[in-house]
Amino acid sequence: MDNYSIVGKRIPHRDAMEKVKGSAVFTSDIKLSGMLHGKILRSPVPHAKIRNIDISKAEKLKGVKAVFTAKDVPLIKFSISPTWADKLILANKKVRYIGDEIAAVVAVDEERPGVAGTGGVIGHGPEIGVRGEAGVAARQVTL
Amino acid sequence: MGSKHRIQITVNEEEYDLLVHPNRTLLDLLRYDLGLTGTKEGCDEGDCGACTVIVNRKVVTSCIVLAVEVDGATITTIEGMQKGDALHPIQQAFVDSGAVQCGFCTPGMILTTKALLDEFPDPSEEDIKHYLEGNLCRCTGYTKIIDAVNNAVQLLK
Repeated sequence: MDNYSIVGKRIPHRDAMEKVKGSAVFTSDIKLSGMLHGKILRSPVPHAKIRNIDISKAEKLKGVKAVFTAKDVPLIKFSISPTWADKLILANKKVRYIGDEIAAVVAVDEERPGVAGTGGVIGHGPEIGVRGEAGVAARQVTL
Repeated sequence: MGSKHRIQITVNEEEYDLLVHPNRTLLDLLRYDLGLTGTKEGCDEGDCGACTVIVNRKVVTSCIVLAVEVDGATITTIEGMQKGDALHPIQQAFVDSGAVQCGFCTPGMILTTKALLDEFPDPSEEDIKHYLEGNLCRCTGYTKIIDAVNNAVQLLK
């Protein structure tokens, strides 16, 4: 073991120093002048068909630079392995869990995407044979 | 929203005179108004402890403290732990004990440790575990963090 410089020796973690000082830069610590902020609209229901997404009001909100939905992204399914690829970037015709990503909003500050602009998702469920919220009528989800 | 309020705070021995909205959290003030991004936002609901700072010698979860609440207070963040280039013994202990993996919980852990050891310089294992309950870590499994605290106790003697 004496011949080795690293194996069997106590070597401090490469970036432990910056992390204990608080100077290590994590993604959310990055601040660029003029940077925009993004937020995701997520499904509040576990299972629903998406009938319509109306982003017209959200797009018009002052400070909102862009609103993306499934029509703006490739509808290529992915997963951690091609074998299991079953996920889309943004939900296309269905939402399949509470939290399923429906739309992405880009705005000048963090408050703007959270403000009730109406990106509306009209959905209903459940699918036949799948456990869901029986009898849930069309509901509107605001961005 | 309404008008801004004036607050005067001391952060890491520097005095600040600021205008803040009433709903500005202490966390957002530290990270975005003062640029002290060492304090982290983990859950934004006071549960994970990543936002831990010391206010008037007590640990708080800054994500649920309003800036207007701390007018006149003395605040320590992770950036205030070291003096000049030398690490605080608690910081050194965390490095030496392998208690830092991704590092996201680390600032909060270190500040809670500081508050603990300032009040109880010789805590028992149970004291340490109890005091650190409010700081969650997803990486280390906590054992090396507890080692680091014990290590710091020795370094501070």
